[in-house]
Amino acid sequence: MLRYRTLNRAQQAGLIASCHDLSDGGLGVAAAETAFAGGFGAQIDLRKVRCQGDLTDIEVLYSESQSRLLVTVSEENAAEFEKLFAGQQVSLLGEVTVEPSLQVIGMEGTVIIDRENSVLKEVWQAPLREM
Amino acid sequence: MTQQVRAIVISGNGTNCEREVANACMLAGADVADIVHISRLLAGEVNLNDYHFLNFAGGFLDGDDLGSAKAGANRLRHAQVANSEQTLADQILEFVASGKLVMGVCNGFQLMVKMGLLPALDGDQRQNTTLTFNDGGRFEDRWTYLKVDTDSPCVFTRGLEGIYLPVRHGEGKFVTESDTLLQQLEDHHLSVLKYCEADYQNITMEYPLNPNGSTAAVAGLCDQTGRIFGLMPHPEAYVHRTHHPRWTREELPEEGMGLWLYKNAITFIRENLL
Repeated sequence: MLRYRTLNRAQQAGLIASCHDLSDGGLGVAAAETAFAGGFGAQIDLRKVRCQGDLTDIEVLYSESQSRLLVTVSEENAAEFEKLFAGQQVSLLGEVTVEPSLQVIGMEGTVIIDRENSVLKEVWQAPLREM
Repeated sequence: MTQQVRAIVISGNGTNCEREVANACMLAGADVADIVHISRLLAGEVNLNDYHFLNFAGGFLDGDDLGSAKAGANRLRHAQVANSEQTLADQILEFVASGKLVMGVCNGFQLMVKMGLLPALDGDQRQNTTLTFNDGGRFEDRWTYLKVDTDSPCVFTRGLEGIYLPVRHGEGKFVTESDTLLQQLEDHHLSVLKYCEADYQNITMEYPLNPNGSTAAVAGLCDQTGRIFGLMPHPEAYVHRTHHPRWTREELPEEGMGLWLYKNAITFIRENLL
């Protein structure tokens, strides 16, 4: 509950640029959908994701463990945002890029995904279109 | 009556968009937008005469028994208002005859068509058109481009050429009882809104731009006075830029396009009914 209350305070304070839950496809899909919505790109590092035990790239990318949120915050709001969440489980995974593409660094430290938004969006929409 | 623009939105028996419609009326400049349960009208507790603008909101009236809004239409046509010789349909016709405005959205449009309130060509109050199951056989929830017939007498679309609004319906395919009637509607410019391509120019029968296979791509209809108007898309669902599906990445005006229809209604009332 503390996490959601803090999130609400951050939202009220206008500190958050976007927020997406990690359900339905986990972090990978949340990052892509966030990129589609804003028309920007992102660079994220899976090694920065807090998790217990040794997880594979696939597990970290697509795990739907609940009550996790992917948030983007403008640089000028970063310090205040982190202050609000001090002592809670929060980590900086990467950054938003002007270039509209998604780049993901895997658990081995190598780039495992590097695709333009348009390519990812086509893959994402295709099954619905065919229904 | 005071110099207030007074709107009424009917609720109950399965409507679910009444609050959004009332909100749109207020944002557009109405002084009053009362949400009134249909049973209060049938009990004679609330009188339509106290209002200028009657709204039928979306939903699933009477569970859409016998087809969308059909049972609801029968109720309005045949149930007597308490302590009166009239039905609600009689009172609505009086309301219309006194120069006032009626708008039905989605299930409200289906209701108007099934009551014979639209198209009511030359005063014909029979139901001679319908809104039936989408060609795709499924409920459609998507945004549509709508071309406005600028020669239409419709009060609500004055000054507009195209609008972008969401549909959410299973029964939105407009059908007329005859080709002759369809032609008459076209000749009188009553089929005021049509599904079109993103340029707001080319009318289309292609799915998904035309979400239901509607005859002649009709999405909205008015009567010959232009004061009675029904449409399948939801104007009350686009009154602010954040309602737009691409608001996070497109520069959009603060005001949503759906609000324009309500603003035209309020302007008409201020100029003609107060």
